[in-house]
Amino acid sequence: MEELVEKKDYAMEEMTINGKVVSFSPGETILEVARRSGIYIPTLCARADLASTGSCRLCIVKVEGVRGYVTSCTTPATPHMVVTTTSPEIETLRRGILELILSEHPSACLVCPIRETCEQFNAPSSKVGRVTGCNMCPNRNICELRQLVEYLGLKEIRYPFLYKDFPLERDDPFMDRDYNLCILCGRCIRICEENLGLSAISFIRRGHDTKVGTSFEELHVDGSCVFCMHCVDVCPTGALSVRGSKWYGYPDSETPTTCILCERGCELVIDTKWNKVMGAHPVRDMSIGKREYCVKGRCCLPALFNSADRLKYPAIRPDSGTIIHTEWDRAIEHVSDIVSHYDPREIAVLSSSHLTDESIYVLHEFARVYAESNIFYFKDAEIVFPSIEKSDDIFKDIKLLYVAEANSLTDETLGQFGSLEAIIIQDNYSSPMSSSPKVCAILPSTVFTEMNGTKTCADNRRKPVTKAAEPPGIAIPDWEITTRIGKALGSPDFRVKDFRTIQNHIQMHPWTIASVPMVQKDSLTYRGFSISELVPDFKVFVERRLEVKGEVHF
Amino acid sequence: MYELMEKAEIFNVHKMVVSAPDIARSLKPGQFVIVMGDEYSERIPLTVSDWDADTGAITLYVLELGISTLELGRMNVGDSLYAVTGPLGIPSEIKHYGTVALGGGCYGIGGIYPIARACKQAGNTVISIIEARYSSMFYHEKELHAVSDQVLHATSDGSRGKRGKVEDVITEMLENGVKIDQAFFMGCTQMLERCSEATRPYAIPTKVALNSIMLDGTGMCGACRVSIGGETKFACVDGPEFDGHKVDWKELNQRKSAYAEQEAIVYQAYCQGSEVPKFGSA
Repeated sequence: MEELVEKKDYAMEEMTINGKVVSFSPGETILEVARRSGIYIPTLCARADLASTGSCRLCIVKVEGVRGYVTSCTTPATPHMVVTTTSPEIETLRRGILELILSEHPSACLVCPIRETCEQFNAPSSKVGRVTGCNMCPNRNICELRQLVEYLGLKEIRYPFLYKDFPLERDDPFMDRDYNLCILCGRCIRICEENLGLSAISFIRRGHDTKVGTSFEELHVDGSCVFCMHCVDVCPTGALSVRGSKWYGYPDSETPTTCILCERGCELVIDTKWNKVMGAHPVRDMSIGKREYCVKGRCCLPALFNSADRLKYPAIRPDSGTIIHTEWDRAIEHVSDIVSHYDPREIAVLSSSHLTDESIYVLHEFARVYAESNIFYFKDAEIVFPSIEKSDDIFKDIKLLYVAEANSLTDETLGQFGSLEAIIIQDNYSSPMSSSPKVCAILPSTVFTEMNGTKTCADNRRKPVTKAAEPPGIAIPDWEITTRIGKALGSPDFRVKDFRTIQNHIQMHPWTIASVPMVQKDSLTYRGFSISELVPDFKVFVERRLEVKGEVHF
Repeated sequence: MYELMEKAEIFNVHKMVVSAPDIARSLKPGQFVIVMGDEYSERIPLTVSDWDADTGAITLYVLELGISTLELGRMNVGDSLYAVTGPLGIPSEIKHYGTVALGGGCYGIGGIYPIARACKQAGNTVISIIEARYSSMFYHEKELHAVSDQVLHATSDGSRGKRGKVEDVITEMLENGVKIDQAFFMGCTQMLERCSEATRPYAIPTKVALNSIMLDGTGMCGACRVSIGGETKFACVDGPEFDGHKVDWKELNQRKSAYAEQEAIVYQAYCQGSEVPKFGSA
């Protein structure tokens, strides 16, 4: 509160930029005032969310009464200051600076007359290891260097090109680094230090050999890097890239959604191409306080959700024969047939904390109507009952299990079920459990990037989950599978039109969701599956972390 | 078998000298081999740049462009390739043309060398034109100089020779009245197309070595099919060299990017230098 009052005491001062009178509060730099007033000043190293160092020199401006030119990102605004941000002379100086920067950055393509057609037809070139031009660069569509070349109308680079010839750094999980593209703006170092407090990287070596690196040039995975990839997000060049997301080119669409891999529920933007998840990154214009991404949500989603192990088509086992693929109508009919053969006391539901609120709610409804509320979860390999009236005592009478997290079911757990006859699996991936002779149906469901809904997170906020990609095969959302089974069994409770109808029900019965255990942020599993099994780089990350530090945190 | 005898990297292009005596004995200019790095690798068609029937060594210049070639690039001297099949494709037609212009870019700088050598031996005047982004990206030059009457350079940044591409050099030569009786080009599809367009107005017979997606290399699968003057041809058994003025470039470009999705997805689950499944399903 004190702070607010203090701020109010300061009167807004006035200054002039390009002949326009603008107001500012003390402490603001010329660049900040200009940006706020809608006046563009080109920069490569400065960012609104980072402390300025004035290393690229492109933001130079003319201040009346001051000799030479000053960098607007480091010069505080003063009352009655008169600033000119652009003039033929300043543009010439900026072009000269940019030319010098580009003389150490593979830039032939930037001034090449056939660049556009080349990039259009040579798209697969981005799969090369060593980037020697824009058509090979994974970052070309969001490259700030290129934007500046276009803004300043640079047509020629007068200086000979110096290739630094650093070895490619591709031995770390998730991350490819090619410091031959680096312009030493230091954004990556600053974001790591200022916003994450990690300082995993710094400038190393001196003079022409200066580069960004870790202490003793050890691998990032052995150092303090947590692979949040914020360095990649702020890099103005293509020096840093997320491995799984660098070969697809430009996304067809970007969809903001919520990552539900753990209880934190970070806001995430999903890059979609070919109707598949190709990348995930924070909102581009991120602000301090939103930085909480971990390697799971930032790097694992494409490999996790495009896995070859995804279930694509419903499968049933008719009359104790072999499992066969079928269409949804027949699968639902088969499943409801089986469920109707058992008494509610003989049925139990294994739900999953990784489901959206709607899917969880419908599973609880199913359990209430058809399974005497016999519903349980796995939390850190422990069985948890949302209802205090239930315990593992119920297991001895159970004959039919409806599971949404098949891989969590160990032999030990199954041993507790004295008279288990049948299992209905509703899952994302095929698991060893699928081959059990007791399995009578396998129903493929979508992951959270392939469906709409909401998820209640640790801060007790319900956050939106938005569909960004198409599911593999004919998989449908979990809530839809459950409602279709419920409807086929005849209960009027399952006559829902879409997920919004379920949301209305959730609002009327909020305790249902409140009773569900949440996924811990350090969890290494997704819906009962070890993420390491599905994402090889994650396995490397976890194993090295355990070896070096003895623990893994996100 | 197929031991790697020598290896170097020049900006993504990996020079690989492989021991393959049977192939080295019967290779002819313009032919290619199909290589598998390990038993799970893709089959990669590669133009042979040089060979020595006595030592049994063949020289390949491999452009790193995807996981299979990435893995080739990570191999070391002493490692063995799983398989090398060849020679494949129809050899270049070598005879006395008069003046022969050869254009090479990227892996084509090494690729045009045996054709230049054979043309020189057949008594032609050989002009080799090579392109790269920067002067430091040229390779195999000493050998090329030895078999060419003239070696011309084109660089994107103008650091050596003419600023521009091979087609700019060719156009300039033709405008200056240099008589070219036959042209050979090898490089990326873009470069081949532009060079063919440059020689078309002068009606210079132009051969281009096409690099369509190839699977078996023996004419069985049809993956490498290209349209030449409206006729479907297989690059593996009818080529790889075709009349540059008759190629349907649009179709070729489209066919070459047919698996962009699968290629991108494979890299999502790829883990450098560790034992992981090589192919994800799409």
